[in-house]
Amino acid sequence: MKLWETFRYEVVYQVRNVSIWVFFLFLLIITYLLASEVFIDEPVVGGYSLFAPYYIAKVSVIAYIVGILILAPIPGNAATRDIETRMYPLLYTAPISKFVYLGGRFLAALTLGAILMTAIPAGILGASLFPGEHVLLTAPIIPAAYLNAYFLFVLPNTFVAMAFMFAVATLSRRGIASFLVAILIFFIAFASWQLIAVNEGNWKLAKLTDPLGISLIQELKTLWSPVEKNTLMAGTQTWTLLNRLIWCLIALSLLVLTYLRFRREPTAISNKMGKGGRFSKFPTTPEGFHILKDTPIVVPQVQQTFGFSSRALQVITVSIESFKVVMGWGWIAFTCLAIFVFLTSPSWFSDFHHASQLPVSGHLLILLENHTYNAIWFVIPLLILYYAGELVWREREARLHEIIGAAPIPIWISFAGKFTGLFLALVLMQVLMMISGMMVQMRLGYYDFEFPLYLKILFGIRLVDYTLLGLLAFVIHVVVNQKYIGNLIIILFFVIAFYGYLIGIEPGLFVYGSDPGWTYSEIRGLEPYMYPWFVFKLYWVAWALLLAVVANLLWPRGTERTLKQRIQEGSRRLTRQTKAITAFAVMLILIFGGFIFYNTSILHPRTAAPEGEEWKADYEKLYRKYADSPQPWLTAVNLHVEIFPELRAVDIRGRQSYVNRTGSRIDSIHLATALGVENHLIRFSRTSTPKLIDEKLGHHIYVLDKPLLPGDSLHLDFHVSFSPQGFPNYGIDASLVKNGSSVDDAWLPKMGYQKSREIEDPKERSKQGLNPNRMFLPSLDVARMGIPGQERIDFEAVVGTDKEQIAIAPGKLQRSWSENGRSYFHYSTEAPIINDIAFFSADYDVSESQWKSKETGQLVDIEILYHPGHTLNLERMVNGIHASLDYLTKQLGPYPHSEIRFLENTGYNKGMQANPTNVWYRTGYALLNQASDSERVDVTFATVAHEVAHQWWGHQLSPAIMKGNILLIESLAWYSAFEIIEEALGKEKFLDLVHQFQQEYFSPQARSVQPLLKANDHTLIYRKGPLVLYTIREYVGKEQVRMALKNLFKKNAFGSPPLPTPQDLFSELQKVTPDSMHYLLHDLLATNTYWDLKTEQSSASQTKEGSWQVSLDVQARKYTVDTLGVETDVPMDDWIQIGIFDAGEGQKGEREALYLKWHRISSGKQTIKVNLPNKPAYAGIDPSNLLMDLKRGNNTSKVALQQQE
Amino acid sequence: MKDQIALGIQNVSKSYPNGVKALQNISLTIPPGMYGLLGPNGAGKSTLMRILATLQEPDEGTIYFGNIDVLRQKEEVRQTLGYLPQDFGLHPNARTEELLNYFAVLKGIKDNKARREVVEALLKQTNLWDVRHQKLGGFSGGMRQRFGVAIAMLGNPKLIIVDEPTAGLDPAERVRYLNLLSEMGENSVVILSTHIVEDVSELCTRMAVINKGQILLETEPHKAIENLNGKVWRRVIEKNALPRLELEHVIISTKLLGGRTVVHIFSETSPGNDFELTSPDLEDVYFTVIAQDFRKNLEQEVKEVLV
Repeated sequence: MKLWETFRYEVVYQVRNVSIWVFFLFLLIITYLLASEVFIDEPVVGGYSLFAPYYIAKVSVIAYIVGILILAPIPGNAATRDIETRMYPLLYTAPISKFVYLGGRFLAALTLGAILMTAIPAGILGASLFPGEHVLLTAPIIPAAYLNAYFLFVLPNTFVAMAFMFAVATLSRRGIASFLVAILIFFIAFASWQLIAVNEGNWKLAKLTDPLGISLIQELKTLWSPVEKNTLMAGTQTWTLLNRLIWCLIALSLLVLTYLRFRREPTAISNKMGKGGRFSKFPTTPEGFHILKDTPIVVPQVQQTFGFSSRALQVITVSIESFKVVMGWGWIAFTCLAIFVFLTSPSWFSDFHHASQLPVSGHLLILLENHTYNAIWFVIPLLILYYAGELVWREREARLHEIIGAAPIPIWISFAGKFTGLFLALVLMQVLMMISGMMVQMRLGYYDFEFPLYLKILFGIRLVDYTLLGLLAFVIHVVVNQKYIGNLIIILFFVIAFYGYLIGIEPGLFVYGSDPGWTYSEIRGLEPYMYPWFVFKLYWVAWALLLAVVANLLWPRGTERTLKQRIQEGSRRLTRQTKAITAFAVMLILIFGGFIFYNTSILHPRTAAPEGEEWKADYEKLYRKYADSPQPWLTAVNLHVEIFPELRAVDIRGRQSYVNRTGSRIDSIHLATALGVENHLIRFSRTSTPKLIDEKLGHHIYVLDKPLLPGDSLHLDFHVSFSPQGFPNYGIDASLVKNGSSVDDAWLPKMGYQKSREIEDPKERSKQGLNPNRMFLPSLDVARMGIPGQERIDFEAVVGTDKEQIAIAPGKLQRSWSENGRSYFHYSTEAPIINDIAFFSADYDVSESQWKSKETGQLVDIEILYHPGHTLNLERMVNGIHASLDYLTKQLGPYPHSEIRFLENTGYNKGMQANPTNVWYRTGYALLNQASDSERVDVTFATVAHEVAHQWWGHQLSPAIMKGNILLIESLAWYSAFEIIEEALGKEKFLDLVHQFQQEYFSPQARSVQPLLKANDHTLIYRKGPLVLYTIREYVGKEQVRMALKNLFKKNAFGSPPLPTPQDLFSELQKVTPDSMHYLLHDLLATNTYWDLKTEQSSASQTKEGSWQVSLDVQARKYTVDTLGVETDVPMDDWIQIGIFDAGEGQKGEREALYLKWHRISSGKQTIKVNLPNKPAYAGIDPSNLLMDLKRGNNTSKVALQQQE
Repeated sequence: MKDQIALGIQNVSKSYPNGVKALQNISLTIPPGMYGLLGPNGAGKSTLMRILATLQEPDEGTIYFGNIDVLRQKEEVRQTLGYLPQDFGLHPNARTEELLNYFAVLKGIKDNKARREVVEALLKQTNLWDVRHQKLGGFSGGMRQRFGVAIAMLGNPKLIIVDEPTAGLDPAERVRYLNLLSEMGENSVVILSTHIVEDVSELCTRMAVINKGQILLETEPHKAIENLNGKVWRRVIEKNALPRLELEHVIISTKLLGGRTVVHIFSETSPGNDFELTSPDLEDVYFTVIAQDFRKNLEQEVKEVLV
């Protein structure tokens, strides 16, 4: 009865609060937007409906991140209102049990939370019912899906969150503590997903440690097929239930603990909490107290001064006090962050195939401070807004506000002092971040700290951002004057600031604190981002000044609280000084705002390539009709390129030669000019008349006075220059910088309609009124002829750059010289190259060596151009290049050039990209530090081998543009890399790499994919492709596969039509494979086939002769999965390896194979018996995992040894 | 100090959004010395005190403290103001000396040495010197109030406002506390608001009685008592006799004494044999004023109903 009454009273009391319904509405809208806008791409691209149970569960989980912050006031209020209103003496003495009091309050909070969170399914339902432009995605509503998402994700989340928040608020007696708990839960969930699952790859652990279920749902994203997403319930998966169970148990035990620890006597808790507290027992009067005294209070007469130095002292005093407030609990949060950084950081520097990297300061700082890399850093803004609220409310919550209000200090002193206190705490936090960053580096054995860089990024860039945010938080708290709502508004603000682009709100003049972004690179430093960043921040500082004035005027001094009263009061405080500051701030806003506007909206659009998608749509709408009009074919390119790194400009003069290789006359030329460049000259070697010059979309049509007959040739002379001025609101192009410029051929004029300009994203296409399904593949016949971009060209270029830099282009360096204070480099090719040109310019160091063919004596100069100091991997790279050239020239054919160059480019990812004769790699690759772990796969070596292999696969053999074509480039280059490693480093390293590929391929892997021959998916091409070739090699033989690849290469290496297709690879493989194995090629390449192989049990008994009789019960199944996820069983009668192994007690601990033979295995259960001379320990089917088996762990089992009879 | 400054309150009114008229056209002149503002709960005392302490705005009226316009020149007022609110808390984790020093800085005592001396003197005066290192969270009600006095006394204020200081203090603590208050600057304007008559009678040289936002009486306590001389009559009765008595006499107050009821009535002439003349005290003054006000309001209401 009493429980019910406590419960009822609490629910009714809180429901009366309007803000709860505002929150409900807010969450409803957020969820609706998440479902209908932010995540809409997933069903659009993934091919499932807006009603799919998976989608409902996913949006529920994501929306809950907002939900949990909304929930915070409820348990905080329920747990501590009695204390904060000082009603507790009445309630604590009422004849109700602790259980009734706490239970009633908690249940009421839980109920309210549960009701509030119905906004989530309601919002999703709204998105499904009003799908807007996405009508195609609708399907019948499955009520069970909403119930499932609500009762298995939303409700348990609410229970867990409520229990944590209620417990902490009750025990700490601070309502707002629940808000900190919400931040903590959010933090744990994100850390589980991003660090444990994504970075560490430990999805199983993450699925348990994630209190909100983000990891659960993110794993299903890749794991499930569209059909599964449409039908299966994420909530009733075993892992989900397990996760829910664990967290509910933790929450429950926390509640029990709260019940046990809760004391009604305030002192007991105060002492235990070490807080002293205002509820402490009265201490006795100190001894020596005189009851009566006649002397009047004699206080020394002191000078009160209110000049500048007093004011300064007051600001300092208030700021120290405020700093202590932030540090009160804040040090725990800061320490947690620092420890978190320290503990998780090693994974940041081994995310690339587990290869460790040098933790250089630049990379570390980007990971630490650039929120786009890691959503965990939202914790810091959350802490800022929390403490801004605490400081604004500090006096009122301590009930000191009347005394302070009557003290002779102007408001700006309080404001400046508190703000400085928060600022000092932020400085301390950054210092802590710096120390933990350096400790991370030391831990990883790196001691080159680059202190100035730490200062620049931590204190120059991030601290400014935090300070601006802190000021906004102060102002919002002052203006809103309602703590929870203030917090919510600020959260809403920075969700918009950081994720607004998902609903079309971009950084710019209207998003407070925003900037065009920045990154750091060893080569170019913080260029070219700092200047725009600085201008933007000046603009926001001006705003901040204005906001500070507003906060000062509306500061709730005294006891007048309503906004109206405060405005009246504020207008009285509007002194001439204040007015002057306001005017000054407004003036700065106008000046800097105007300057930014001029740069972003006038100067930049006029001189740089256009942003956005609109022009692409216009281009497609207007000119797609010319896509099939026959055009001359490029045969030679001769350029004079001037790169001006300081000015960030390029000037290119050149001649391109063409031939009419079609069978018909060409009478008009469609010329695509690059947008954003200035075309100074476009002249053909034949007279022509311009018919259409569309500079805006970069399409020109020239009618030739005399048509170009088949076989006739044509030159185009041109002169273009590119010199972008100003800067954009976001997405600054860093390709031209003081040091480390890279320029591709995008600024050269090209013939024909440019398909590359079309919008790819289906959602964006339909938004722009285009057919969402872009038909970008040409017909097979056209494709096999080769399309523009696939030409083989003779290339020659003179590239000029700054004196101290080296400029690079494809081909052999003929000559280099200095002229007019600039350096020039003349390159030309010795054999036609594919039309894939890029220029680089930087202050490089060069490492030179030479390779000589053992067979033919061919010489190849090897150059590695690297950023000074980045020498860690030079030797490995050279070795890799040597080994690759050895293998590839022997297996496939000679290297067509006499130079090969590797050069470093900016960026911390580990990418490498092969252009003809030039392979460029990112700084991240240069920082790979594998010397320390020689046990592992040599990624450095393998990547080099792969890229050198592209000089054959890709640059000599280039496939027709069609589905699956990349297979012939990437899969084959990786397979070659496999064999290069086998030849150069030995079988063991080779198998290590294979195992790593297997591991990477099978860790959460979508099943419903295209067969390999039609695959475009990255994982399939880069992982499954080489693995499949390895499997074929194991079944058919190494030499046979080599033969097939060699034949494929020899027939297609010249780039002349018809270009090869994946089918050609298939036929070559068929030719070297016995007929009895053709089924395997079909299964591996032509269909998406899986095997489900399992050793149910194995046993062995020793015969009288001493040999061992081994018996394996195996279960086998083979099935195909189509792209929708439909499984079809395929009867099998396949050759599969059966292996029996010893216990692996040898020196290296590897299990030696006692028996490894092919057996015919059919579908279903079967028993295999083998007789062996030695004692077995393990036995299994397909023990090397050659076949595509998603559950590889159960292939092998331990052999049960039976007693001899 | 020769130029003694007085506080002048002219026609001050204040009403709250919920319709309560907290102050209605109040005018008072308050000279230096201890001034008592006496009134029941909800009379408008605290509103007036907060207005004087620059924390609230009246709807109309003017207030001058000497030449300072209290409503406009708030900053100047605050520089010479000592305010002890009715209800205040202290940062529980701060230490006594630390927080007082903090306020000393806020009150513009810049010089380090002087500030230390002032803080020490005040803590000694308020008998908190021995607990200067103790956390304020552990303070008793009396200690907290004394600490409040210390804050209010910082910077030798000329205008001291003390709102309901004795509420909730035990008798011994109250005595100590009133002692302390009596020692507060004699040259300053000290306004003490209270609903406890003894506070005023023991401390104040002048006083005003306020009820329902109006000043009912402004006087010096001893003069007010003199005026009642010979007009207050006392009688001890059984409790059930009270209703009949109420009809016949103007009752000032009733009090329980050993289970019986002691009634004071106001009468210019002798009300009868059962009553004995008693020498009035300030409590009789207070209750007389309140009772008269109550009756006046009642009559007015009756009139309104009749009209």
